[in-house]
Amino acid sequence: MIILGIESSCDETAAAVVEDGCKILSSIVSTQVEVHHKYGGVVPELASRMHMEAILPVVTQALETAGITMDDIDGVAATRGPGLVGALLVGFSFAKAFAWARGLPWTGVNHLEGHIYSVFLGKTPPSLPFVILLASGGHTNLYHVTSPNDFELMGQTRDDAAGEAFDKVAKMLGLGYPGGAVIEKLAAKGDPGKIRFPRSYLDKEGFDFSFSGLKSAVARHLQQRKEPLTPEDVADIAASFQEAVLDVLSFKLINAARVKGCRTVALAGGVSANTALGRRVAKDAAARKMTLALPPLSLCGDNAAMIAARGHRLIQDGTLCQLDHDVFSRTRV
Amino acid sequence: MILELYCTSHNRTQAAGEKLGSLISSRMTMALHGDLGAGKTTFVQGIAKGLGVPDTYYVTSPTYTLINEYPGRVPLYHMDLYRLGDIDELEYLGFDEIISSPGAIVVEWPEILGSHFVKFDLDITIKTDKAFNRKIIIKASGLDGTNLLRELSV
Repeated sequence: MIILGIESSCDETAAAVVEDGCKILSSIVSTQVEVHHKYGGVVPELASRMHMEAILPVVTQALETAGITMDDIDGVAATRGPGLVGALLVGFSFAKAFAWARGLPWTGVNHLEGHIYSVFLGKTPPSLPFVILLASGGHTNLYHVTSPNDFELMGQTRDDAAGEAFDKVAKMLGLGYPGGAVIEKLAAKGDPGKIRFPRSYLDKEGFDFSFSGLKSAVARHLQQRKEPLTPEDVADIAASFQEAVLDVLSFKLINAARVKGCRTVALAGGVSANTALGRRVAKDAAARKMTLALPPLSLCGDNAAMIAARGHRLIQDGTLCQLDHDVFSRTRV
Repeated sequence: MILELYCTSHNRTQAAGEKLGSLISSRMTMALHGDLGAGKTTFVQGIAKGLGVPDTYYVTSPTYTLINEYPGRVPLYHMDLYRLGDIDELEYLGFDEIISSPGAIVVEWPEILGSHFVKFDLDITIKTDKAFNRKIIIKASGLDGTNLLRELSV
């Protein structure tokens, strides 16, 4: 069964063709496509208008790369929420119209469930049940996954998301915005034990996160310094900050798996592209005789392959959308 | 009218927001300024508490989501325009509808709006000193904002 997946919940417009829920025939993300070049290489920070301009070229390229035509598609899946309504509507309406015109089954996918499915597209897909940390610019959620359709939210951030903390600290250090990836590079050269930034575990038995205190601690550290920052100082601050984040993320993830009696943990979302996080969690998991599952690097950020994978399961289960269905901006509590 | 509040801790910053939130009974637009890590989200968490937003809703940073909405005595809209590259993108957020709605509306990084676009009832700036104590400076303009600030200063 070949599914066309579409994602447009936030900054990226993406389309992918996935066969049988696991074999990626193509995965196209708008920032990689020609459409942005007319902006002289400068991609707008928030590319909401771009969704409308990008959707057709992105879908066309997804079909071309997969080497298929519209006739080969068996079903369509698009992100329904959470996200920006104006952005979501572009992809969701496209999927609706496309499926209706072609007489295909179609479904709306929860963006966060899509990220969870990205690990099923990795080299070593996790076996159920498992606990997964979904960490990105907008989310820091822990889920206990017990079946292909059951995702129990165990904890979430109470203020800033982990990826956001990375981006904002990068900004404070004068590394640009967003600069989460730059922090990782610099951290590799710094001493993670140089500055003892606070670890906010909140309730150590609980699974909620908080990163705004850490962000403020970095701001305070910078404000109270007397000497100007040397490149070594910046690397030490980046390393010390990253260490504080990794300590908390890894501890909560492993502890959640321990409480739930799971032997497998997983990472997903943009922050899972941070290799230091992957190494730390792999080490902590091994100490507990647990295994770690990761998505392919290209599927850590927002993409449509994960949407197609999740959509494949929903379509197979007969969980379909109708023409009068609409997008949603927030996860319903 | 200008009011200055000094907060020496996270809890006091939140308490200041809570007091402000508890006094809001109808539409109130607020611009919120402050550097990264100054305590803007903390302050808005207080406002939410004062507005009676249920504890089950976590008031989180809107930097990525751009807009967060919470139910309360008066609905709370928390926006962050930091990531907007162009004023046209406001249309995608439904900004016009929200800013003219009868809610408590907090806008972080409102500079992109320009002064002619929205006249905020309250203009709030959080500053930190060397010891990282917070000074919250609230300026009111118009009748609603000035009345609220009078109550707050008592």
